[in-house]
Amino acid sequence: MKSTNGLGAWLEERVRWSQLTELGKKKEVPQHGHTLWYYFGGISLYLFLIQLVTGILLLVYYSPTVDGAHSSILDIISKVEFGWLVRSVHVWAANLMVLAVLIHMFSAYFMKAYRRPRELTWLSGMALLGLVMAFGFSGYLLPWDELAYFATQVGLGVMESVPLLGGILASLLRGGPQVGELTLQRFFALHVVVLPLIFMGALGFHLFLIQLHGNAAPPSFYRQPAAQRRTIPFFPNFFYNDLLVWLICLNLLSFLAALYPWQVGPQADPLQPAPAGIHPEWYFMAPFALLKVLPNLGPLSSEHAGILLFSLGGLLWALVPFWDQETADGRRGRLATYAGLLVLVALVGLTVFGYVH
Amino acid sequence: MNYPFWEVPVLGGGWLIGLVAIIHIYIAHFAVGSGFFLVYTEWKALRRDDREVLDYIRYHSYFFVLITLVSGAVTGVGIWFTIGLVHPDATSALIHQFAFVWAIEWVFFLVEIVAALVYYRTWDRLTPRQHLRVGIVYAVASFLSLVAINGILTFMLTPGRWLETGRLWDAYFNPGNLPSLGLRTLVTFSIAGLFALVTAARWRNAETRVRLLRYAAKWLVPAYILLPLFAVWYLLVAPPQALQALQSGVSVTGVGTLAILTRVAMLSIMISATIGIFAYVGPYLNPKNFSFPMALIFLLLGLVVTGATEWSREMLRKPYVLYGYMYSNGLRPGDLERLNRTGVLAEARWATVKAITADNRVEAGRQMFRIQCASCHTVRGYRSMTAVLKGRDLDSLRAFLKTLRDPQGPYVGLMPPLMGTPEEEQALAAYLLTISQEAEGK
Repeated sequence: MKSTNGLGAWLEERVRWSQLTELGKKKEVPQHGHTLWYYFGGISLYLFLIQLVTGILLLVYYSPTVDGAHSSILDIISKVEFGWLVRSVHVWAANLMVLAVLIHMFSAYFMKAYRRPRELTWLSGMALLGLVMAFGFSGYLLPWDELAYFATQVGLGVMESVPLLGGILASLLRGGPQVGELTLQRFFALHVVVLPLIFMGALGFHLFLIQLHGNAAPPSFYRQPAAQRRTIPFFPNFFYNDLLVWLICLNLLSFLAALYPWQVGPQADPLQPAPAGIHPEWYFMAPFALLKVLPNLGPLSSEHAGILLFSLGGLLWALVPFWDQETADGRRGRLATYAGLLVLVALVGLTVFGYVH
Repeated sequence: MNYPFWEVPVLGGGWLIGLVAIIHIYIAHFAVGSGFFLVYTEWKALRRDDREVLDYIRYHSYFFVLITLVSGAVTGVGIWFTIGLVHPDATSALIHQFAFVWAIEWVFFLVEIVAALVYYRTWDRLTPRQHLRVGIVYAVASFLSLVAINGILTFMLTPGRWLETGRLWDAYFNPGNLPSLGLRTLVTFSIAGLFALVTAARWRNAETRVRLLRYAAKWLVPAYILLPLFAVWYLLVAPPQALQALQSGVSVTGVGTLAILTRVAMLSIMISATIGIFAYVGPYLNPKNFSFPMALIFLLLGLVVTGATEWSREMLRKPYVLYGYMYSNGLRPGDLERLNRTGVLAEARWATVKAITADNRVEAGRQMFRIQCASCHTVRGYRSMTAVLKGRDLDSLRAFLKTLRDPQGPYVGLMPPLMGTPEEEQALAAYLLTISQEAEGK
């Protein structure tokens, strides 16, 4: 695709863009029964881009002060033309992004995509997951409505009870004894500056590694003779499919935003008692429910036991590339798969339990 | 008011019609567009003596006959059943006005069905030229049935001069007729293309499949060039009040407005654009990787966009079912003064309460609700009264009903004015209070 004259040649001489397409063509995407799951990485990326655009648009009208936050959101959804659309898409895409990232993570887990040489891809993915959760937690407070205010208070309370670092971190975020103006400002700064910067760095690293190693395929794919392994070029073939999937996502988002526009609750009033049924966003529901059901375990309070369980579980989960390496008999691999299934069932079960209970 | 009222719980009568009609419209447009598609493709294949494409078009005609004749006919009759039961007054008004047009449409429809069956059964029995002619008969008859029904549909939004003259000619050749015919014709091409993608994606021979997919995708092109023009024309002849309603959701999403209309119209544009981009990126640019499930997904998108667009078109008419002539609940603007004097229940043929007493007040209110509200609202379900009335006491209900009578009130253009005597209004308030109290109880 080298053009010899005109703009193409001019650009080619200066930025060598043909190398970019060469790079895309080099990457081959394996084709097998689980190819579908490959799209969720792309979907997560796409939803992040949507967040970036809608987030910048919301910044035009949003005001990060205790007096102004709630009313600026009300203005956005009832005065600004298509403000309701931008805000609804931002909130819906945030929720869908968490879901897409989780699906992407579990599919990578069950395909054993974390195995050598992709340990760092997995770890950077875990970091991205943590950042997405932090985006969710910090963004949730910004409308400054009743539910967000009290859910944030509860969330920071849980953080505070984490031994060693918890107290320091919680008071850093809260900026004072109460959730207030300073908390809002800090959450705002995190949400629109700090987290995006870190996120884009981590994302760049993650994508670089994927380009370097290509898509991982499940072990069954590699057990086939090399001649039978089907692949398609990433560019343009898989890329076109990616575009189609993104289009479907955009439609799904518009559909949700149009038929279920996100509303905002009454303005937070710190002097009022917390309303009944305060609960966090659905993606924090599982740990929240666990804290509620665990009994006190010996010297550990139920809260500490829950935090310990989640921290240890999370650590084991993040370090899976190091304890599940490929072995000849594959027993370790099966163990990891069962553990993954257990975690999946437990998370879904606890989330449902949290809502029903 | 001459007919018994059929209450559809939860879903509401409107959606019952909607579910049947949206499927029917999708299939009917497929049927019309496929007339052009089958005939043109067969003609081209014959000229080039392209055996494979002829085999394909034969296979496609089987799929086509199966879908249009079975689902198309069932849902078509279904529309008559549902509109007759849900909107008997409007159906009766339309039948009286358009008996001849419907008779003509029925003739075309019959020709269409016979031609479709003959076309499908005679691939081996007629000479290619004769067979192509049968196809042309089908294409022309099915297009003319669209022409006939289209005028009746647009009459409902833009009755034009008919409101003064009352003549069939004015009713049929109403201002919305031609722009809508243009829109629908273009849409039939696209839908024919979408269905052709489904059969093309299943074609065995890979080389021919690629060729067929690219060909089928091209059937979406005319719509994506000309559709905006006809859409603008259509909106230019629509009542100004309807256009206002269309823009009511640009900056708000609240209830008690038609904001949802803006949002659904937006979806319709969005999904249409998606299908266009998809046809280009998918089957046109990348036919090798285009699969059968993808074709099904976009067939579904086509159904969704049909639903969104037809729903928006219906909503544009609010608060009328026949614009300027009959409200959504079957009452007419001209009835207002008389019914305020003599009472709605007194005239409603199937109402059992004629004189309101303290004992039957709530029952009288319930019958008022059925006659005037239940065409659009369900007690709990679509446009739920339970959700709207929760927490209201008798005074606030009465005040609310007053605003429904106010010619300058906030609901003018959204809902028909409330009609009836002051006693009937009190009875309606008493009934609504039972809904509100029940909602509170939960």
